Amino acid sequence: MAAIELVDLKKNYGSVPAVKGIDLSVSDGEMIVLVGPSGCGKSTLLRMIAGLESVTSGHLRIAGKDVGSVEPADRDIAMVFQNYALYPHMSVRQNLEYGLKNRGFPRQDIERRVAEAAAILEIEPYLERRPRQLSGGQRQRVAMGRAIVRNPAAFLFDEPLSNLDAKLRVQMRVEIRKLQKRLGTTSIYVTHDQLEAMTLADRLVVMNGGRIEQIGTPIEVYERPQTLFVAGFIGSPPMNLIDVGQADDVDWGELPPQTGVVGVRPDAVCTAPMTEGIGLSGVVELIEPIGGESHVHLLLNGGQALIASVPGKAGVAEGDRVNWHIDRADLHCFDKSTGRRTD
Amino acid sequence: MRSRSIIGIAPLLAPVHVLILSVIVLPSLYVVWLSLNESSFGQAPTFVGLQNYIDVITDPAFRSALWNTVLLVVVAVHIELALGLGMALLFAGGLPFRRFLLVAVLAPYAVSEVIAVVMWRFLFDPDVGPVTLMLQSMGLPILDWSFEPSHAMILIALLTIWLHLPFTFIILYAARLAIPSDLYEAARIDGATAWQAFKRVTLPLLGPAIVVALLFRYIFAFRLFSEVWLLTQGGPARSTEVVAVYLYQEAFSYNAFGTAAATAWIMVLASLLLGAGYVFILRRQVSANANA
Ligand SMILES: Nc1ncnc2c1ncn2[C@@H]1O[C@H](COP(=O)(O)OP(=O)(O)O)[C@@H](O)[C@H]1O
Ligand SMILES: [Mg+2]
Repeated sequence: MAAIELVDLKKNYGSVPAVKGIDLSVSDGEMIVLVGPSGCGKSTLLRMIAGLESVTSGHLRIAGKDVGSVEPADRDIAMVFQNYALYPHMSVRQNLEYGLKNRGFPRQDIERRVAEAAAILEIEPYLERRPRQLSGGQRQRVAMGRAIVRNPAAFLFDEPLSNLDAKLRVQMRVEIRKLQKRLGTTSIYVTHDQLEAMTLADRLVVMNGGRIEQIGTPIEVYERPQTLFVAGFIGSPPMNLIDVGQADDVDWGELPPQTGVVGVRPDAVCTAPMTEGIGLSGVVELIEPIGGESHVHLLLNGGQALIASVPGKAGVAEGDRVNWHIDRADLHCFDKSTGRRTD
Repeated sequence: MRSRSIIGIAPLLAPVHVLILSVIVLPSLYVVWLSLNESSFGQAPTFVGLQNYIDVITDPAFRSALWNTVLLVVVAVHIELALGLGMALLFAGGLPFRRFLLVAVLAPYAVSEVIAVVMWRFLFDPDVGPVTLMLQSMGLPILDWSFEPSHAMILIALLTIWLHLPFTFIILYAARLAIPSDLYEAARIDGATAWQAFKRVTLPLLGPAIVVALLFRYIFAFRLFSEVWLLTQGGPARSTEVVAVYLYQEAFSYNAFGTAAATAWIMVLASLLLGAGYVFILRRQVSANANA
């Protein structure tokens, strides 16, 4: 178990930058989730921490030790790959043992550790099978088993659940979180799925274009996105981002200086009669019922689209004219040109 | 119902069966029959039982040809495998000018065997060949293959390796490229050295491709003919003769069709045995490797 520290870490492929200067400190036992759209440099960053990619510039410390040019095997980390990367010709047991054998662990120690990991992950019945005789979920468990047998300083996960079906993904997500809490091992988890990110993270790192957009707890990031990108990326359905200049029939009240875009979370829209706040009037274009709530697509009078997430069955019909509103405090204000928050 | 449908589709399948019967089965059976008879031009075949087989097996010329063949097959095929494997790993490991080098490595396969032999005869000509002159200018011994049987065997082995290396290489290279790179990354994190990764990841996963490449090459190499025939014609003094050349001599120099047919069947059986034995050993090794 150890802290991990990244200082102005950069990676170029040839002359093309993939990671453009990352500063991040992960404290001991913390679960950090790197989230961002595909191609934003998450995997590259994770692989630099693992030692699978060289560092172009900057510093990388694990447990206080600069590991920038240390071999992956000597960094005391374990990695779980997207495609599991299990050795296909070895049994599950041999897969788990391999890293321990290479490090010259004594026989008894190896057996004890494998038995422990197998018990934790409930893979004992498959220990003598080959990976191809296992289902996707079982393979994922074995891949995690291979990580935990070594009791490393940190776990690195690169989209480990993206090959599983939706139901299994939710189930494994919960198990990973429980396991991480139980072992208390520092973890860095990469995903492009914001729901996975929100539920797993102690702290969320939102990345875009090789840079960090925002670091914070999932709730902080959800409640106060610092940039337009984060506002649009985190949350489902996504935050409504409305250009103030074009929505001039809405009375936004007094906005902070430089505000060009305002954001409204779908679940911040109130359908109760307006007492105070900002009125939003428009026509219901489409209703998507999803059980406990409904997503109502409105066309505001000024011509902007807006999605409202309302509890239950909405109580309106497509084509209805509605006068809804939001609380002033629920407004997110952004500078249009810099993308930064202004309030 | 079932038999009627077979009768119904029989005319559709018939052309294929006729083709296989006429170009493979019937000639093979004819060769079996021929191998049991004494036969030559202008002479009615007379049944002699297994006498042809006994004659061939006890013929010192055949034994020397068989020995030469086995020697060439074993040496050439294994050197070729080692070279092909080494090159496949080198290419997969990332090499500058890879596309260009790939074309260069595959080129011999595009050259007809006959032309290749003519080229090599010229290059290695003991008096004026460029390779000979080069070796001489560097003070190295030359290959005097037209006089010295062992030199001739070396040249034949070199030539057949050069000609067939692309085949072995391309099979192993394709198989190596099919190994996912994250396995090597996992092995690096698991603390495997390059040699351990080769032994425990590359080799077991290439196992099936190696077996296929070896098996094909064993069978091809066993019928080795044109390299020898065009280079030395089995000379000097039948010392470099291989089984296929012996067969050719029996059939077309001595017109002894019976013994030639017997030789052909011995060749088939020998290469089957060799191939089967090899596959057996390798399969055992591959699975042992995986379980070790
Ligand atoms: N080996 C490589 N060579 C060149 N460019 C690469 C390589 N690996 C990744 N990239 C580029 O770096 C950027 C970040 O990639 P990656 O870290 O895989 O993104 P993510 O994991 O966030 O989807 C992408 O634009 C990708 O094209
Ligand atoms: Mg990725």
